[in-house]
Amino acid sequence: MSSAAIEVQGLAKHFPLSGGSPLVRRRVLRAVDDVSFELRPGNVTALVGESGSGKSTVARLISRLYEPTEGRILFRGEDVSKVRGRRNLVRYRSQVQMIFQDPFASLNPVKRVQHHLARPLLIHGLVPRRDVSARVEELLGSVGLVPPDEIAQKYPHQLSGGQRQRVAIARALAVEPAVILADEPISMLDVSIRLGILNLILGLKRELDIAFLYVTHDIASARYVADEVLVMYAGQIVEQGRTDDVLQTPMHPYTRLLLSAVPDPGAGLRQDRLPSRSARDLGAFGAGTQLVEQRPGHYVRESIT
Amino acid sequence: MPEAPSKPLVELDDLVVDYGRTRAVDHVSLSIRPGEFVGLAGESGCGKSTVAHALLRVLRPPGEIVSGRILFKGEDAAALNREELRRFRWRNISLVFQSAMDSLNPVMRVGNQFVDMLRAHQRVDRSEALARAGDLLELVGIDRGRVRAYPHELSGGMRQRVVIAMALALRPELIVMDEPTTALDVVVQREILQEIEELKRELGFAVLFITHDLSLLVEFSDRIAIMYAGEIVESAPADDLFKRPEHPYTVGLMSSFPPLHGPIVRLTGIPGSPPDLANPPTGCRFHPRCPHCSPDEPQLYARQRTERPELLPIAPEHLVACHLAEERP
Repeated sequence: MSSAAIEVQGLAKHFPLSGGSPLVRRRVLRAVDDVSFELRPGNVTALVGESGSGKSTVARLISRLYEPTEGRILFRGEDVSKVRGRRNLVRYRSQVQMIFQDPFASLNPVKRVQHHLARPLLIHGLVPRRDVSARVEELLGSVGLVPPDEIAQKYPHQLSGGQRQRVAIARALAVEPAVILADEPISMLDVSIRLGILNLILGLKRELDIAFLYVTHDIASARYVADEVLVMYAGQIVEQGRTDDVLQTPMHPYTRLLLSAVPDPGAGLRQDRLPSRSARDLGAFGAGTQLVEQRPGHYVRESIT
Repeated sequence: MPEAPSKPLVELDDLVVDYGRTRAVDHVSLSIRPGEFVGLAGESGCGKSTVAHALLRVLRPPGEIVSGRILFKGEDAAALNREELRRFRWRNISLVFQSAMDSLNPVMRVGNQFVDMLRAHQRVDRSEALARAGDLLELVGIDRGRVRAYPHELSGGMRQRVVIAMALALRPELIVMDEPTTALDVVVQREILQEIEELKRELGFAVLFITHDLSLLVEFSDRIAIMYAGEIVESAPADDLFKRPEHPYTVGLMSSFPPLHGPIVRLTGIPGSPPDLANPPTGCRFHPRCPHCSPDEPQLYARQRTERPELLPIAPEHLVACHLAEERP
């Protein structure tokens, strides 16, 4: 489809496992296996899974922090999975930005906020030097950091976790990207300020027509922000579709398990228990399975029989 | 005050804890009855972990209990000497930390760590202790053969279970759990909570469960206390708190969790950020973030900004510290 900002086709990343003889084929960990989806402008796509499911690896592959083992990543129709060289990567990354989980680690503690936002503007030559300060303040305002002139002069340690994450988002916005990959952007923040960040993402996708990939383990927050949900398990997408379809009528057993494990006080003091480990049906995944369209736009992994 | 249904096992009475000039716990009173599951919820830096550390007397300098009492079955735990304290921990109250799964010794087999702990408290020989270790592992759903495993051979969830099994070893009457499931995946988190619930039913211990995740507490607690900036601002039976949250902070926390069911409505969370305890707001500590604090009501506004609200009952067992609640009939 031409409307996609990013199209991922058959993406795979295998990490070699240590040990083994050099004479036999090295064993590999299939962190990501046969993953395909699209990110569209003005849409939030949630990639939901537990730790080790490969969800962060997908974000890192798209941002080209990792080299894919197989598959293609199309940016506006052009394959960028083989893009090499600093200049080409800089150009790609000016369009595809990443926001990390830990806003304490992703900002330089000895540099002011001003520095963090001015740097991408200068590296990518986006505004004349004399306009940089004004643009920095504009960016801070757009992520709800007020008063911008004061915030710009602060160091990261003078900001709260939520404010720091907003700085990280402003930094991503500085290059006017088409795509933002947000890897667990709220999981390290205090509960009461998480919604502020999710609402900011919702506002930005509408106003700036950005395509968001929202990587999370929190399926309730995915429901809140995402137009589309991809559920990942053991490196593969096991269910995929419009948020409503996937969460209202989950079909893959793993999606159902995930949903039943989420604390949901709204459901009342329920007594339904998780099935025991041995009785647990995780459904189809791994070799010999594929995504099958069950209903229009709603894909579920099944065994090939 | 209404009569409590049964005598408390633990009573924190007007507890004050300082870290140097920062007051982390500010006149907190909380009681836990035998066999009760009490949830203590709050955001980072609200003092909830400090409450746990003070309760077990494991505060690290410069943290110190400035005033208040910690009563265990009516006796003052603050008066215990070193040896009594050593026995008090683990035997009467045990503690499971958030990073507990990393508190196992990485170069020692799991079973031997049980043996050390058991033999420090009881007169048992090695083989007997090792057999006990196997029983305890089975209790938390781990194969007893795993006594021979090293911690790195176990998953995070299993390591957390091992630590819970250790906390259960001496049959304490209270287990304090400080964010025990925060680092775990949701499925594992629910499994562990279900296990704690089952063990609690079987063995009859009480639980003080400390977390930032209020949605989790509502499902598993008998009673919940909400902490903000070093104080308890509301406490009530779990069901009551969920259905009739009174403090604006509790209301804000409740609506900070996007629901999994029903229509998707725009939620706002709570504006601003949790305060810095080194420099807390005057008056009601929540007033800078409170949606009901506005100069349009000058009288109330003045009180909110200057006067500390008291924790007062509004219904049986339901206490709230809020000027608004006081004004309501």
